[in-house]
Amino acid sequence: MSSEHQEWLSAASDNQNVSAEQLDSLLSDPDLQASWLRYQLAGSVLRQELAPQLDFDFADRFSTLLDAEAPHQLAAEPVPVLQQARADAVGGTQPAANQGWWKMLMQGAIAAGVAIVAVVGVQQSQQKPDEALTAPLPILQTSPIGGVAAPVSLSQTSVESRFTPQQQQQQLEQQRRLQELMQARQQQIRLMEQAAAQQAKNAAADEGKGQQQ
Amino acid sequence: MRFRVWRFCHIGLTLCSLSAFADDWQQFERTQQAVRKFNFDVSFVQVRPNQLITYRWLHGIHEQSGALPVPLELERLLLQDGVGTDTFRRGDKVYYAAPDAPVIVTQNDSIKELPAVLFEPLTVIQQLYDIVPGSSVPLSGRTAQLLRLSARDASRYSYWLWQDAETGFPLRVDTVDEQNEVLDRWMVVHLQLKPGLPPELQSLISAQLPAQPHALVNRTAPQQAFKLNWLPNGYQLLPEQAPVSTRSVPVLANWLLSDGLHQISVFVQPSARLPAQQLRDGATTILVTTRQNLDITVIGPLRPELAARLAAAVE
Repeated sequence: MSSEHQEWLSAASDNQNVSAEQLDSLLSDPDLQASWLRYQLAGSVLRQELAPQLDFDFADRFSTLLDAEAPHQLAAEPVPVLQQARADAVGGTQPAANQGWWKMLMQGAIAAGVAIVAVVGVQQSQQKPDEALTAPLPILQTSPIGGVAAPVSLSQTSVESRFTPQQQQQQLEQQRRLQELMQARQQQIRLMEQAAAQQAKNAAADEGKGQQQ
Repeated sequence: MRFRVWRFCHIGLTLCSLSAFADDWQQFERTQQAVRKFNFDVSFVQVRPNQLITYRWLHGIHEQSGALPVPLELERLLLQDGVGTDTFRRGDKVYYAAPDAPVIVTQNDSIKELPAVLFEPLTVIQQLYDIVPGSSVPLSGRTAQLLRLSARDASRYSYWLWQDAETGFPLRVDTVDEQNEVLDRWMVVHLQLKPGLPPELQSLISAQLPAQPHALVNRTAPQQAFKLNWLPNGYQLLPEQAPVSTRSVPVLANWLLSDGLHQISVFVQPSARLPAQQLRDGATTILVTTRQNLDITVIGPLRPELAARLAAAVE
């Protein structure tokens, strides 16, 4: 391998032009191919493109290993082999298995701990804005939509049994009254709307009259 | 010289902030127009303590054919789950159809079960609230811009409104108290804007509905026996107070107060010797107080302390 060769080879590995003869010689000469490989490798190292521990002889060595290996017994029965392997594992590595169980338990405990923290954390952070929605004032179960309020069904009102019948009676009475008043309120608002609308209409009519005159 | 420079700066800043203010109200107006002008099919939830109700809300514009085409607004509000009142609006009339009851008609150009702040005139709202823009957040994968309507009078509840940045449609309205705690949440969970009138509203164009509202009850209600000597800030006693009827306990006197956006009711009834009570339904406070031989009930969106003061103002 002369230095002449090396020069054009080096240039070629830096993406310079190569003549047809040079290319032919590269394709036919194993020595040149080896140095081509080295140049490329050096270039890759310089450009930091190389994957760590690249093994160029891997394929060669693998084929040698394959050649050296004895031909495989395809007729062997798989079942006894499996059984044996399992027996071995149980017999020989019992402490290890025990350790694995303990380790799993610990991992589980840690995971549960994290989950609890996460749940508590989420709950706490969620509680903040919604606290007002669960405000201390008790809540009246009103009819959901304005129009005609269907009265709260008295049989359904949840009066707890710890109250005396008298108290229950009072609560029912109270609820009935409030329900009536809520309806009265709707009546009031509707009348107001209507009065306002009529006033607007009258005003418009007056204006129309004024324009006519 | 320096003074003059400062003054220029000051004037400039004032102008800037004024124009920013106007912009924010414009943004708000966009929302008010979106609920009036768009064709849409929306589902929303009303979240209150221990209560979550889902509604479907349809709205569309029908272009009437004729010499002078006037767009007609059609709207429908119905419960998504269960049976309840079905509410329709055609133009300036609202119809309440409940099962086993005659249809009730009222004259109104909005359904009052929807957040009033979306429909009432801007001038009324501007008198009661300042507008403060907030940050934008994602809601259902869309960008929502927060507009805070913060009450000028601290005793009043404020509104936080999130509008869809692209269309201006309201996505969420929170009613908050002075500690910014949410009392009532209105939130859109499904929004579909349509190119034309939703087909579900087609039948409403020609539906036979009662033509006129029920005649007004005779308005002779001399309430000389009682009077209110105090009103919460911003509220006015409506000039015409009609008597209301209840089934069991008679109402001796009643008033309706309004600030143009909210209403407060006050009722006086003979005492039934029931314990005083204070309840809350979302942002609505219900307060029952007993005095001598009278029960006074205040219902309205106001703080319990103010409700108590209003109840005490009955003479």
